[in-house]
Amino acid sequence: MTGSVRLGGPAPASAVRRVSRQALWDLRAVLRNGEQLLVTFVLPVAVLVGVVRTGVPDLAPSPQGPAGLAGALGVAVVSSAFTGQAIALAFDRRAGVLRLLGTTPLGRGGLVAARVLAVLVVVLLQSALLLVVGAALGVAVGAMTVVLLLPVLALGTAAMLGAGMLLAGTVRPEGVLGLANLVWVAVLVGGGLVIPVEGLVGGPAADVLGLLPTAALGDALRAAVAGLAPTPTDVGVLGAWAVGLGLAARRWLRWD
Amino acid sequence: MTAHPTYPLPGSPRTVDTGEAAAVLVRGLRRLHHARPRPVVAVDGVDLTVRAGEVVALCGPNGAGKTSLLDCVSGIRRPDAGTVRVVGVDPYRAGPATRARIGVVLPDLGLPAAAPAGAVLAHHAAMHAHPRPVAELAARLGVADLGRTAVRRLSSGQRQRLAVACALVGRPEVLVMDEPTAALDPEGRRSVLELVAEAATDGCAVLWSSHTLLDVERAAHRVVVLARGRVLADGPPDRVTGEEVVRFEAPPGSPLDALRAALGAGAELSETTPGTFELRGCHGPLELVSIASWQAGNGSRGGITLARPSLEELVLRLGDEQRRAS
Repeated sequence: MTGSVRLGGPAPASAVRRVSRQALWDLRAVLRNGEQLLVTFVLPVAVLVGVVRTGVPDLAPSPQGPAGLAGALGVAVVSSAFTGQAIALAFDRRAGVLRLLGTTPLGRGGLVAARVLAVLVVVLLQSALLLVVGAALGVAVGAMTVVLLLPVLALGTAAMLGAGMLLAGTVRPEGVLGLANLVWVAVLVGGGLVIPVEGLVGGPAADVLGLLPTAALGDALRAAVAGLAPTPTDVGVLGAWAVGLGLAARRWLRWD
Repeated sequence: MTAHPTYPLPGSPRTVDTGEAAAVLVRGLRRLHHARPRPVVAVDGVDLTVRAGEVVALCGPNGAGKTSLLDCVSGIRRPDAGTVRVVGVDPYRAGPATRARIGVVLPDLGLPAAAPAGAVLAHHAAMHAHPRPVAELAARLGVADLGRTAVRRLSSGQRQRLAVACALVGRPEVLVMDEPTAALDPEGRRSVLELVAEAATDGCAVLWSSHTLLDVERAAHRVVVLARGRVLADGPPDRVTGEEVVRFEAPPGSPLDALRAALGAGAELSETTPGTFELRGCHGPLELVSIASWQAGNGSRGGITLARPSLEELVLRLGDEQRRAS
């Protein structure tokens, strides 16, 4: 650094203040946006209610209620961290919002930190809502599940947000809008979130599909809801995706 | 046309500014525009200095490289070659302490469409430790009543003033603005230019691009004319546009010998278009009397104007020359 600081001259607010203000800003943007609310809260709840009440798809041999709750939690993470943020970021990028905030004391690093924080809060709100709705439907979980869910949800959020940022930072907003929704539907059906991949395909194909971040997230959530620790394989796969997608987003994300 | 004022063309010898006191220092900047099928050179070896308290306007035709240059100065883009320093720091790698000292207005503004205008300004203020009072700044720019209005419902002029307020709210030492007055009415332009002038008086270095050349002539200490990525002229507005000329009318082809004799050596006389004549180099009352009597002798009914070529004419002419040269 060079130069002296004039008293009362330009100086940045503290990092905590900058990032927390931006995270609150991003959080408000989600909570005020109708489409974001739909994809973030309404659809996962619809998945939970649908699976538990109608019994479709049949998740046997897993118990229908807990497996449905785990699937809905997975859908919630993909909805907010991937689909919702990919679309929001893509349009912020188009409008130049990221570029302008990147020139302020917040900077690009602060922008990313705030997004991560905001999405983690959204995922916590979603999870709390799903646990409450689940309880109302008779799907009760123990304290151990809550403890296990926190790290699994955080890891899943990191992987999905990395994917969302990579998509938003490299593709036109119109393309992001289409792709993010398409991927949401695709992983809902065949990503191993609600229906385990073993229930979709057999043999080696299941092993390949099992390497999807959504499949590992689905497995880890089913374990956590059952009060069990996720397998090292699932944690490893999810962690590798989180690191890889995060680095890729860092490398290829274009701010304008 | 007769001789133009001389411009310090790129590569020509001139005093090298070490830029010790410069708030903005650009040396040998090259920046490619990554277009298809192949990259285009947007900025091609630009040197530029802006000192504290100086207002420098960047002019030139579309595609001249103004935005690419400003993006490198505001740290949005990385130069492909050359050096950029803002308050002594590489703006692309600048940390929060440096970014707090730089205010930026983007050509597309970068304001979130759904957010209320007042919240946007307050949000930008919150990134700074000692921001300007938000209400005072909003009132000065005529956006105080729009606090609860969503950005997307603002007029383009209101949006532009909000963007300027966001750039000024941190009391910047350097202001980098890409066409901040493009969508403004005369009143809006005046309020922006007043705030810019105040900031400059407080020692802020201002680098600002504009097609509103009247504003440039009024508000800039220096004009840098850019075309095809190169600096074609750099100087005070009146120096850049050149000396005053006397334009007068007479029947086409009127002989100039008698007038030339009356005006004496230093006069440069020419018939620029049929029936329109130009005198460069002197424009005192005696010369005007000589012209009037010559006009009377040639059966002209008069028409003498004293004009300084406008910045607009200069930019247009430089653009034409660049196109012909390439």
